Amino acid sequence: MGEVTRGLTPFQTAGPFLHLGLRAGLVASPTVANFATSAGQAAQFLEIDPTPLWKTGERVVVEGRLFDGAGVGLPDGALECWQAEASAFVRILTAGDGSFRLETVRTSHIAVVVLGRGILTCYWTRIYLEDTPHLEDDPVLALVPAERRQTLVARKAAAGVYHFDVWLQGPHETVFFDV
Amino acid sequence: MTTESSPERALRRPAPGTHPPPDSPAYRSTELRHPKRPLIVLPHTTSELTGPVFGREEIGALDHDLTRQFAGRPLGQQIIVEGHVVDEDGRPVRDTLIEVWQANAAGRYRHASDAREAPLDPNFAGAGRTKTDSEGRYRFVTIRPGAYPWKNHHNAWRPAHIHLSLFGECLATRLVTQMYFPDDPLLPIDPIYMSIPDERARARPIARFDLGITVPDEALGYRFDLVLRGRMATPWER
Repeated sequence: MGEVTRGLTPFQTAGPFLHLGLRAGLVASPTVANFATSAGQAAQFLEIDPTPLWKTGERVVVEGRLFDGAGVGLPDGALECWQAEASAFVRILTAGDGSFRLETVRTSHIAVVVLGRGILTCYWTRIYLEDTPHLEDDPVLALVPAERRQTLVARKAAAGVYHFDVWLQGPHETVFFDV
Repeated sequence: MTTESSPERALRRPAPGTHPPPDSPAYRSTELRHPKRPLIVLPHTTSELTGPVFGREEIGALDHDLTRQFAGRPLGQQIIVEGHVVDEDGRPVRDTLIEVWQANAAGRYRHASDAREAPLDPNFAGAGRTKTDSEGRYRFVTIRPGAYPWKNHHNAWRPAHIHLSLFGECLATRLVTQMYFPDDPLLPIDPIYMSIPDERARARPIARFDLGITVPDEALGYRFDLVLRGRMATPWER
């Protein structure tokens, strides 16, 4: 490992007013970008030359809630969802009851960054859709103790709709990664 | 394919003590919001080593100037915040999105959850954004935010601060932090600031007054350089 020349800037919490600065629906890909402001849901993509996967992929919805250790939904949280295969990024601000809804395309998994009041850094997790083929072969899921893997798997609720809750703590605590 | 780890491109892991521990009891909101089970160490894969690219088109011409978003000028001390975003090896982080948000001069946020009696400023929204240039430089114009009380403990006051959010070159370089002002007596008694374990790391989120950035008859200048994660040295480097 080489010698670093600059000291890393430390994280500090996004605080209770993160929705002021971190706008909902901040969406990006190399050629797709849009801002919108409605809390609790992502904006529509502007379909300007989207990536092929974005154009032709299977549309899916992932919805759920972000909970603290007492089972209370976080009104002051954000989930940032990145899908490298589709070059798709969506920032979702939680609604008053901690609920969120992600409209996207199916990929092998969704990388998620969780931010909020009381979160001094950010928490890293992943969403896998339960009917993804060969989930048992996923090398990242394989790193997770078998009894906790289900916390990373979104359950099918209806055609194209999946349910995924994020628990920061407690008996259902979601698996978070040290990235 | 997308979950293959790429050790030759992986980012360095932060030195211990750089970032606050998730469980920092003095900041009471962490109590129910930190995971208690061990984090799973994740070798960096394509998902972490790529990230969103934001175009310049979504940044308005005045988005970096929080003092010119309304017809009138906001109350308070006008300031300019300027700096470089680099990685741990000093390489500039180019074209990266920076979002900022802050309280007004009276220490109040324009946010439904900030129900203090301190006045709102009709000429100040308290949010802005910009991108770094081809050398990693950025610049904001704003007003110095006020300190404000919060309910963490008796007589708790947050030191004046500006929230910043940066992406860097990939998802794993994501950084959300706060910029503080030099010589603020509230810093050593602020549980959020003091949650940074390493004293050397605690010096980093404090901006420096800079007469060179200061504009005569207009605004005080502060320099705030940010350092994002760098890459592991590759075998063909030293």
